[in-house]
Amino acid sequence: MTEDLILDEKTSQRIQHALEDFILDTKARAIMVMTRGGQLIAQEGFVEGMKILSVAALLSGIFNSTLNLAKAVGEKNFPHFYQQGKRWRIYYEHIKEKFIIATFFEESALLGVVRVKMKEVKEVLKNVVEGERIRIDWGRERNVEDLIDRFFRE
Amino acid sequence: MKEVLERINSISGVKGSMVVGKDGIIIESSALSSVDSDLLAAMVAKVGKEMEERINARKNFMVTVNGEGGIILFGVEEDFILAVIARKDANIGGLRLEIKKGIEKIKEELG
Repeated sequence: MTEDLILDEKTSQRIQHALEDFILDTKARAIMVMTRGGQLIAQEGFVEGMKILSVAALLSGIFNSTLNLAKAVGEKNFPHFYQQGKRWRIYYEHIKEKFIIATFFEESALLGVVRVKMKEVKEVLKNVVEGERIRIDWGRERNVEDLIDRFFRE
Repeated sequence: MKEVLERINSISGVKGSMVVGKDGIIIESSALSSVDSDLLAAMVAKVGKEMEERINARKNFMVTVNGEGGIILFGVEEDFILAVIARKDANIGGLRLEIKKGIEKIKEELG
């Protein structure tokens, strides 16, 4: 599925404030919001050496394959996802299978706190998604040629 | 573990109790709604961690939080936290004693 997502400035600021609060309250290192197709909408925080766009694309891939896995075992979806490595932990949730919120944190942040604060970010995003200030066109195909055409049109 | 929590819950004034991992994830909970549980688990884990880091609190300590509507008591151990929500008129002394006993039982159970 491809998407075309347009956010006005006020909406962007609202999302950004929610992400800033999340980082302050949880001590997580980074949080990002993306579409199911891997388009990055907002991010806050920083992880050294992390290529944010690549990570967003990979997470989107993991989310989509996990969704298929859920359906294969008779679940509607798996709403939470958690991976723990030696240093890094990754936790993500989705909003109505359209948006993904992912966070990266170390041992200094607590998973329980991350989960509780993630709910608050989700509420803000849910309101944004359901509001009229956002316009999403999920149906249009996007490929390299389309993008080049659009570039020259503009 | 469930027995320990049910015993604590049977004390007059107790609203609910739970055992929480040090990462703030619930291990066992009794008589608490899921929303309350997640929030309480995150809060006690955060406070416990801050106390360990900032004031160098030893692993075995107990915290009492007094609110307008009631109190939260929790004992912090090396691997888990035992937390209780109670009304203000609950017998705090008796409750502290029961939490200490409960902690010992859970430690035995976890080996």
